Amino acid sequence: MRIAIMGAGGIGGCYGGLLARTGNDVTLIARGAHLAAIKEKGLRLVQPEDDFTINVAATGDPSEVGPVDLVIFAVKGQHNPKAVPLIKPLVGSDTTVLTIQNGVESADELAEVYGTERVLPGSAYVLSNIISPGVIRQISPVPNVAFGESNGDLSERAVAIHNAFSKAGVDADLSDNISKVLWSKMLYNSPANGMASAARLSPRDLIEFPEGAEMFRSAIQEVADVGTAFGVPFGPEDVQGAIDLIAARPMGARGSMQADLEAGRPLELEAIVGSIGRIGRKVNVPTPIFDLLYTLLLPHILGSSENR
Amino acid sequence: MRIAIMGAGGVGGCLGGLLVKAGNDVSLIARGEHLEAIRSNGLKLVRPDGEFVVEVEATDDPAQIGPVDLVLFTVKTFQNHHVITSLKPLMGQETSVISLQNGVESHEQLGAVLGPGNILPGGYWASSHILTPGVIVEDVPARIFFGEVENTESLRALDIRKMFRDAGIETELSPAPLQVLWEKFIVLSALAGITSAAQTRPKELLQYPGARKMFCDAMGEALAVGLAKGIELSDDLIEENLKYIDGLPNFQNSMHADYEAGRETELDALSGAVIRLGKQIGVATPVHSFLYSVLLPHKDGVPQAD
Repeated sequence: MRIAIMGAGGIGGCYGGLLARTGNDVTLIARGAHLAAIKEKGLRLVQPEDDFTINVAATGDPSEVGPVDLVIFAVKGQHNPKAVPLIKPLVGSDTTVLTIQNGVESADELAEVYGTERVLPGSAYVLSNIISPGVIRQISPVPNVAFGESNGDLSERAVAIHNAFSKAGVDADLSDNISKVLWSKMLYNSPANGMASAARLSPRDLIEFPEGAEMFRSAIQEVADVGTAFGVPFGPEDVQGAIDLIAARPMGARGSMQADLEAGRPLELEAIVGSIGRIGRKVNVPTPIFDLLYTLLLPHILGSSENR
Repeated sequence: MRIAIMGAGGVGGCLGGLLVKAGNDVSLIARGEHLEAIRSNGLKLVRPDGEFVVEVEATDDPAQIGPVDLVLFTVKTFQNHHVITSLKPLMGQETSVISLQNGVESHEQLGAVLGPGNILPGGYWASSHILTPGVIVEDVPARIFFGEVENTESLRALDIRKMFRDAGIETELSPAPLQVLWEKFIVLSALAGITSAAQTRPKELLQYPGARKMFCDAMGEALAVGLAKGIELSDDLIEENLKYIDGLPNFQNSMHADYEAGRETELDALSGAVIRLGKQIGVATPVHSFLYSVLLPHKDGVPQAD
């Protein structure tokens, strides 16, 4: 399969390396020092049980690549205004664009430009970071991805992509209800990242305080109410399930946005926190806690001035 | 007048220095290095219009001082629980105690232990801090206010005002000190909460429309609690406070500074009090409750290696 990875960071790079190693024709789209290092020395993927380097095509300019079978759209949400139009040369008549961005709005954003029929909504479940230019450290034992056709069909292309992931050692879930999958991730990820960022404390540490636990419950309930009104119903057991997920995290394990905040990097605030309020207003569900989280974190959305 | 000052930090140290300089018999109650430095080198005050050093009696044990005419209570609110009982040896037949703290609960906490009739609620507007042990810097001359709870004018209050004014301290004898205290509390609790949680100074934070709304909503909650408690407060306060804060130069709220430096914060006397008093009287405080939940983990500061 001809695959382009738009955004070869921790997650995109991890999938890209694994897909390239198993016989796919992969091109990584990256920038700066990371791109230069991959071009010069290949991409090194340090896994819990393995550590390999693979020579893989890499470029900063998608027009050098041309149309591919599959684009995996893996940049951080704040880059969409530039990144969405940038992939145009990669998208031909038979191209599928699989988005694994945080949030629930990414597929719609891509569909506006490339058409609903080309876009597969998806979600990544893997802890993985760039630890040095050209070097990616995969922390999760087995990377996981979930995706599916918006209408729930088991399409030929979805099955082919599923097979490519499986062959690459990625635990792939081909879902017939991808909306529910994405919203279920939002249900714990948005409160966990939002609250932890506002409190400058890991989600697990914060939920140990009764006041923190109560606020987590209210925040999760807000996401559940917005999701339900949006057409993805959640019940009390889902809310409790999200609380349990947060309570089961290791002490001190920071959320990705909290880590970005503490390091002074730009925040994925719009996709993770802003989206709840935005969708809530569309479906007439108030989101007071997410409005406060958004307000408190907004001054930091671009990161600290030295990182801009 | 014989005066004891409980807490010789920014506010207490500053008032103490000026009162000594004016010839009053003052004892400071302080701790640690600050106490040692005052004992060996005196108390140094660095003010906008110059600096001076005074020799002043200082101790960490109120029992060594004995009964006085006036106690100024100027510790940080999170010390109240431990400190108030220790004031008993300072109390004689006619001792007055002025609380000069943030928050709106100090006079009741003091009254419960030392007798409500002895307490005069008060407050301050100041920008001063301990620079190094024994040295206090005052950026803006402190202003204080106090008065009788029952809105009466008393001879003791007039005497105390005269003493402060003779020492060059701008002092207002308020006919309604609780009202003034609440007015300050409404803006301070909101500002401390939002700037600490956002880790952003007011000047920058209040450029965002969402933050202005959050600031006003938080002030509105404390205002509603105060009104429900029967304090006379005007609805115009919120608009006036917003204008007032907009007009100030770039500054950092003291709780935000404490949080950033890993020091213990006055969260319980600010957002904590809005929530507590709101619960007692049936007023919802969602913004302060939210702010409290994200600030609580940092309330006691970061443990310091002594």
